[in-house]
Amino acid sequence: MSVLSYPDFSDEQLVDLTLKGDHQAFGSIVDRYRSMVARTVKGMLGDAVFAEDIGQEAFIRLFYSLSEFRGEAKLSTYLNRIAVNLTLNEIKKRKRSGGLLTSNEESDGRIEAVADENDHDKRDAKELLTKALGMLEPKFRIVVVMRLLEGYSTKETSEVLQIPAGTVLSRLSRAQDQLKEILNRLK
Amino acid sequence: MNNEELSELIGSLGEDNPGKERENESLSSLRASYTFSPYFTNRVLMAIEGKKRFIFMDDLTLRINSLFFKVAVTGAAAIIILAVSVFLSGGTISFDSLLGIGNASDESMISLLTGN
Repeated sequence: MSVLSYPDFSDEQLVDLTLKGDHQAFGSIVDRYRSMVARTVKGMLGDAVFAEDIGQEAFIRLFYSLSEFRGEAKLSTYLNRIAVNLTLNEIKKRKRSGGLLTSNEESDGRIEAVADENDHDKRDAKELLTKALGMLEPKFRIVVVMRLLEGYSTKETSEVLQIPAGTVLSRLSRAQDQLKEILNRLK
Repeated sequence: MNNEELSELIGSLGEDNPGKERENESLSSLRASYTFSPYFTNRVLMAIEGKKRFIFMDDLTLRINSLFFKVAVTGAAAIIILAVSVFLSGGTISFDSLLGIGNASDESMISLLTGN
C-alpha cells in the first residue's frame, strides 16, 4: 500500500477525499501527523510497547469521526485531542491495574533507585528529562509535553486539552516546581 | 544539553515558545526519538480495512439473525392459527388434519398425485 499520494493537498482536501472513500488520502493524513501523535503519546507514555497501539487507535478514531469533523478546530488539534484523551485513559487504566508508574508520589522509590544507579554527571540530559517527565502526574506531564515536544502555545494547549488558558499556566507552574524537585533529587 | 540548560528549559516552560532560543540538538533529538515504526501508516490503513470488514460482517450477521427471528415468529404464529382453526372446525386435532389430509383416503391421494 503506497501512501503520500497527496503531499500538496490541504487537510480539508484530504478529509473530503477520505470521506469520498479514498483511503490513500487518509494514508496521507496519517503520514502527515504520525510524528505529532508519536510525540504526544510517547512523550506521555515513554517508549512503552503499547504506545504505538494507542497512536493507531487515535488514527482509527479520527477516521471514523471524520464525518463529524466540522473544521472548527484544525485537524491537528482535533487529532491531538483524540490522542491525548486515549493516552490519559490508558494511563488511568494502567494505574488502576498497577501497570504503569504515573505519578510523582508513586515514583518516589524509583527516583532514589535511579539516583543510586547512575552518576548524574554522566547521564544523558535527554534521558534525564524523559525520566523526569515520566514521574510527573499525567495532568502536569501533558502540558509539558505539549509545550516542549509539540511547541504549542498556551492557547493551542488549552484548545487541545479543552481547559482554560489559566489552568494551562497554573499546571505549567506546578509542573515546573515538580520537575525542579525531581531533577534535584536525581542529582 | 547540560543540566543547567535543562533547568533553564524547565524554567522557561511558562513562556510561549519555551526554550525557543535555547533550541538545541538534545531537545530536537528527544522530539525525533519519539517515532512510530516505519510501517505505522500501513498498519493503520490495514486496521481500518479490517475493522470495516468486521463491521460489515457484524452487520450482516445481525441482519440475518433479525430476518430469521421474523420468519420464525411468523411461522410459529401461522402454525398456531392453523391448529386453532382445525380444532374449531373439526373438534379434534391431529397431525394429518394439520397437514390437510385428515379426510383423505389412500385412493384419493393416489388419484391426486398421479392425476388418474
